Amino acid sequence: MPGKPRFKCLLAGVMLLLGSPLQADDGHTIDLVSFEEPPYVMLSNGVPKGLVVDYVAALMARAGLRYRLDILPAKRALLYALSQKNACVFPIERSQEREVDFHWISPILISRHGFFQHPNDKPVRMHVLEDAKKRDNASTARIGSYLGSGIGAYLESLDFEVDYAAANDANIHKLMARRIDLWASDDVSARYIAANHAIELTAPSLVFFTTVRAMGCHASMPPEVIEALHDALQSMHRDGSFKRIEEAFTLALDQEMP
Amino acid sequence: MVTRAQAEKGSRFDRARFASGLWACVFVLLAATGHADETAHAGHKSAAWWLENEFQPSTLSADEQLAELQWFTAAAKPFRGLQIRVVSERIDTHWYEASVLARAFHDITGIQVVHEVTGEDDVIKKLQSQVISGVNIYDAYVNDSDLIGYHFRSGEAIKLDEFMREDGAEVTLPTLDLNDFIGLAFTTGPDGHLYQLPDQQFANLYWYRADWFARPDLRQQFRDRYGYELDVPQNWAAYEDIAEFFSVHVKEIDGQRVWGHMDYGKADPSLGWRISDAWLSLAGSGDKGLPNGLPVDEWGIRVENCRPVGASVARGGALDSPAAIYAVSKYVDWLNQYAPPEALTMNFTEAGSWLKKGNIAQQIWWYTAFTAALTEPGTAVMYEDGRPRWRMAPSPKGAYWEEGMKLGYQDAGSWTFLKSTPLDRTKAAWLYAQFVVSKTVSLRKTMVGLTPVRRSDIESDEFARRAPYLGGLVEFYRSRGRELWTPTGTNVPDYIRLSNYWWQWVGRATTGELSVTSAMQGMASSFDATLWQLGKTMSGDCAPRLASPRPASYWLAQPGAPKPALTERTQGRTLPYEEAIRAW
Repeated sequence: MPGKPRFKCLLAGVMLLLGSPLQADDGHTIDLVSFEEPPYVMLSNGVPKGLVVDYVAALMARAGLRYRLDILPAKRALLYALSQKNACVFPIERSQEREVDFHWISPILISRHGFFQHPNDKPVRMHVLEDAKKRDNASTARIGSYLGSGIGAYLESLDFEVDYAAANDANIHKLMARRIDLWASDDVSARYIAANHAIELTAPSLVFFTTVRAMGCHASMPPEVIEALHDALQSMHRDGSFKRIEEAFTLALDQEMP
Repeated sequence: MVTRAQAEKGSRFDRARFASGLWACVFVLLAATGHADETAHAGHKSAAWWLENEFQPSTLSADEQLAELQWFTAAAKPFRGLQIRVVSERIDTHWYEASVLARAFHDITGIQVVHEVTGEDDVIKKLQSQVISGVNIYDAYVNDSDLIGYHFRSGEAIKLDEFMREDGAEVTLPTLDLNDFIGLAFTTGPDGHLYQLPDQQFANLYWYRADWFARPDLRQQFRDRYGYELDVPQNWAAYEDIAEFFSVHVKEIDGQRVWGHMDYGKADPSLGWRISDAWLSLAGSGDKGLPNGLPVDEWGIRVENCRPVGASVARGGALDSPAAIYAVSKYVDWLNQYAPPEALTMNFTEAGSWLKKGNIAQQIWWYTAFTAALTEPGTAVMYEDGRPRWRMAPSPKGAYWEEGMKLGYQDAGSWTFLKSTPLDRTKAAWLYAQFVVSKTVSLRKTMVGLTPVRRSDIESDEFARRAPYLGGLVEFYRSRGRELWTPTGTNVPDYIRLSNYWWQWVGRATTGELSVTSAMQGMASSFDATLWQLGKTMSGDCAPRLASPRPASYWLAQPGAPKPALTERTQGRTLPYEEAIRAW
């Protein structure tokens, strides 16, 4: 991968070549980077898979673009796309704070984020966000999130005490070890991660925030590439492609889940 | 938020008055009608509790409040147990709704509301995402009325007047009293339909340190240097003189470095609002007309009837006109010359809280949404008796401004419902929207967030009683000013797409990457290109259709906008506060 730092933690790479007249950076393929966030993005025997990986594969095909996909830790994936001219990162939370950093291909995914508690605790139903600030004994609640997560930054800006892990799946261990009081996570990811550890989570105490997940492309990405991606995205939403991919993925996931 | 609101209420509200008899009656009445039992469950509070402990003061009598709450309980019956999701921007009013009113609504109706609060740009991007994807992301949006030009053209938003008569008739509050809302003109399309219901309004006004302006030593120094009085500036020349006076000549007051101007310059979506909300309109770059200039508005977009035909001077627009370039040049120059150096890297939120530090003499326009924050006791801008050391007043006007043009910007965050939301969820969300603006709740909310939408609240004794403590907010909203300060209008066919260009192009001028002239020319071209694209997808008589370009000299010779360059510098002019606010 010319010009790309060789991260020790580089987990995997895959190149998909599609015959296409539209390419970024004078004929090179577009560098897509993502991060593990099961079941949206996962590695299976070193090969990226997952719902959003499927979405993006279809999107790039519809746009007629060649790409290469690497899976990095979330924070590094974000920094990579910020610094590399030919790169895009997905599925990141689009927010006002990040708006200036990228060209956005959006929406790729809509996420609901909830607070999950230890499965052995009596279920607590919260009504408003403020309810999550304090534990029963009125001390400040520690909220688990992960580096690179826009949700962690959002909660921190509201004076929540946020404890960051390197990746979201580490939070299930922190929750079980009571190193955090609540795990703030995308609902689907949390359930998937827990199920993979044979842990049954109770319903989230509160689903408190919605994020629009997007593909963020480096600010210097050629306008014709961005336009092709926009057009492809819109047509896929209109013709139901995203819905069909989701249905196929969910079916496969149901068969795989422990 | 919750704590602050409750603390504020606790200090003013005479609980003892209500503890005697009246609320006992309320409780009995609720129990008698069965509603108390229906809504009371573990950890929840009764309607009576909310009436006694939260929804005071009110413009309604206790019986009228009770009747409204009973109506909500009954109308919500089919939706009990439903969880709905709404979103709004991040200001005090919406935190109050999200933290207190959503909880009260749940207790009273059994409908749980997750009221998300996020950046204004997030709100509109999420609305856009729902439109693009067709996925029901939110059941309702508190969306600024600046999008009215999009809503009436796109066909995506529900026409509320029709909804209230038809599908939503049984969930429309009989005492909603639409005529009581001051901002309906902003949320009604040129087709006469009501697309949004105002939830909160705030204006962009001049802000200054009245205590400093009253100091004899400073007044004398200013008079000696500039030849007129240090008072409320009426034009940009006076504003510039005052900015220079404090930043360059006074420099220090009571041992503290002070500045004659405050603004923000970070290339961020909020920079776009800063420029599009007010700089061009008060410079006078558009045409005369209320609520917005016609045929050219303050965004520089020309319409023929209701059809946008261009933003560049070549197409009869004014976005790269001499007046627009003058406006943005003043913004950049004053930011660099007279504002604190930190302002260059600040955004809307960061700059908004800066004034509390007590080292800024004036700000050409300031969002009154920050009134609550700037009247917190104990800060450098407050007297010990709870009165502010500052005042708000009409903003000074630029060299191209003419009588008959809008006097400033007003934000009208308004409930908006998309057709892609399932009807039962729309109905439940409509109930919540009406609840947070109902007369039972509205005055209390106004006292917390200071963003009034109802005439009855503005004319209430409680609002008047707060006047000495709010720096001019009450006087503004009790005047005709509330109609002369207006949001973005209907010339803008797609606010979400076009608003990005403001911060992207002006941001490049702020950093010096481009000259102001080049930035405005680039922005005008981007606007024209987007209008052309929109013309391909929008249909109807009001869809954009780009006009053929003509030489700039042709358009500059026509009456109105775009206006030819002025060369003479205006003499600075000020007025004492009492005279200045007569413009309201």
